Amino acid sequence: MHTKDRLASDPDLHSIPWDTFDRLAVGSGGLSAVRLLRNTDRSRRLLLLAGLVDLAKTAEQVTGPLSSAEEAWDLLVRAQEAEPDALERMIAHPYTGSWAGYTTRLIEQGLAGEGPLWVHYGYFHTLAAAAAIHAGLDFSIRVPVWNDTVVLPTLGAARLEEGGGFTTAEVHAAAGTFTINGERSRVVPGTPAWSPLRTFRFEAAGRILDLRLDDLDPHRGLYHPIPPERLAETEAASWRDLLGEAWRLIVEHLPEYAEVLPSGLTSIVPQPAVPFRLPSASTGEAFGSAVIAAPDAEEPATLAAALVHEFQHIRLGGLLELVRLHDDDRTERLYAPWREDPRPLGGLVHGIYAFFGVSAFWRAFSRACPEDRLAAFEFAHWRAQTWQTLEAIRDDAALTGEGRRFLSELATVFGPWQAEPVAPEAAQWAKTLAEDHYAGWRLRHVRPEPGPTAEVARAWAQGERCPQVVPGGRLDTESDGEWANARADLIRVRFGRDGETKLSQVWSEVPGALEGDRRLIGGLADEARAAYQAALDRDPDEAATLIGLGLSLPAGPARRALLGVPELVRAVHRLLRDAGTPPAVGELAGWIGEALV
Amino acid sequence: MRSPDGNGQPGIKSELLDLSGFSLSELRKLDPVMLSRSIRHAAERTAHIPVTASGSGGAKRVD
Repeated sequence: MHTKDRLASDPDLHSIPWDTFDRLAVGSGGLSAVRLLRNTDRSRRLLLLAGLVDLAKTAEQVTGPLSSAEEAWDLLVRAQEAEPDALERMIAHPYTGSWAGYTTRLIEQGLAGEGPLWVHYGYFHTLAAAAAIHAGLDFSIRVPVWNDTVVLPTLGAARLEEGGGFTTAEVHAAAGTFTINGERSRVVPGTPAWSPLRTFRFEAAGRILDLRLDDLDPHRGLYHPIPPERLAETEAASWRDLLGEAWRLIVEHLPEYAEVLPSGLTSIVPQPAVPFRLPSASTGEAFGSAVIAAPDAEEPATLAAALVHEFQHIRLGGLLELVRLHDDDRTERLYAPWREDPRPLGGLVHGIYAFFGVSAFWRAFSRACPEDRLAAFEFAHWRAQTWQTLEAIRDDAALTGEGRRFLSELATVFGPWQAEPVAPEAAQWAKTLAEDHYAGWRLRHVRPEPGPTAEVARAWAQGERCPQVVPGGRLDTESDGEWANARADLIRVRFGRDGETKLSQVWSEVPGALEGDRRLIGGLADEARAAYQAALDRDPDEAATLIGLGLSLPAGPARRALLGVPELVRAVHRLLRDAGTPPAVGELAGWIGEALV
Repeated sequence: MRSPDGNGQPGIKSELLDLSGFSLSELRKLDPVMLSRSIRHAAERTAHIPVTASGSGGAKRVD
């Protein structure tokens, strides 16, 4: 960096007033709070960019055959001077953030990337080119080509014919047009070899949401660069329609979020559909972006909830640039009702904030549409599960004072929702799903202590009473078995449009669904129990069936054991099988349940 | 870190330089020591990728 011509005043450090912090904690704060977070992330990106440019001064190999880092920087400077918004578009582009993080990591940690370092570093050159194009400059700059593709962030992708691998091309702009010139091929926008980035504008009740559907940018993923996966026009049209409908629902039902969401969510990365589910993800390095699986055309409300969910993650990710809510303990030690694996404290804080937003959406939607059974169920489910998680960690020693204050503020708004009336069937199935998930988590990750397990097995074999059982065991982050949470999917089918009919039609298409599951979710507990028992006679180790049996039983010791300490029931049954005298699982569970504290 | 902000309002101060009032050209004229410190802070924070995802990856039986 130049050291002469120092500025008269130095910048201050980013800060956040306590009242803004408190309002963000409860999902409020308005546009000013989101802009504060955006500005903070903008500074983070500029700092990383400045660090990478500095590095190239002493390590010229990072740019390889590309134009120098200084040339790219100077082009950015020219773009800013000609049209400040052109630079801002590039700095605010979500994947500028993930690129800066990824490339810094490669260099700082000496990691091998997906390609040569200069290819990854050269995303900077494509950012400069795109900024200069937005600014209407005349320029030329050499950029990387990865498997014949040049992506110009926020603009689109050129498909060259260079023979694959890692090569270079020149982006040349003059008189308001640009071309991408490889060694053997040339692409001009408007031709079939150019794929423009799709952008949509949605308007509902005067509220505008501008979204890019980014299937091109190499840094749109979560961890490392990925190649473009261009959606067909029909798929993009489906996304456009559903996003528009989801936006309408957010504007109608959650106006406070609708005011701020467009400032924090600007890009959607489409992923292939997952049957009966809508998984989504985001990274704190890509402020403004959410990765979402293709939604079901019949469930725009579920997509709306996913947008709110990811917006909350984005908001919290921005806040965490400013404030430490917990220490750096990343031990995967805690139960999260939304994951199969144990999570670190930070993951739970993130999840609580995200599902607080999800609860807010379903609460409002359910109030406006009380006949919507899915909305009632989702509200009942997420408010209870999220609250339980909040209660479990709000006094965790790894929280900072700010973290405790954040959760406490959130609880002041969230707590009263727990007492709001919901349809009895929604509450009942929310409870069932909670029990199901928790039992599954224990089977996956809790290992009973060998000594007490053997003692329980011995007592059974001797015909004695079961020794007192206190839920415990050793946490193991590696899962003991793999199975789908089919009952969660089936419950949502049941509460969807024409649910009962659809359940009978599609239940076998739900991954991992068992005959007993269909009957249980269909409300036929006795038939479900018989189906689960028959399945356990064939394979007494089958995790989903063990839990299913527990769910199908009336309240009592067997149900308590199968849902409270399923790992112990299974472990004892394994020992008794090895000894050649296995009882019926339900009978053993009932005996253990009598001794369960 | 707790401290007042520029308006004297109580708040939390981060370790990130606020560059919102500076052009790219001006960025290069900042105090190099202060700038390097803030760059280092930002770079160190990239060590952990803050990803959040609903659901989890595949799991394998271990017993």
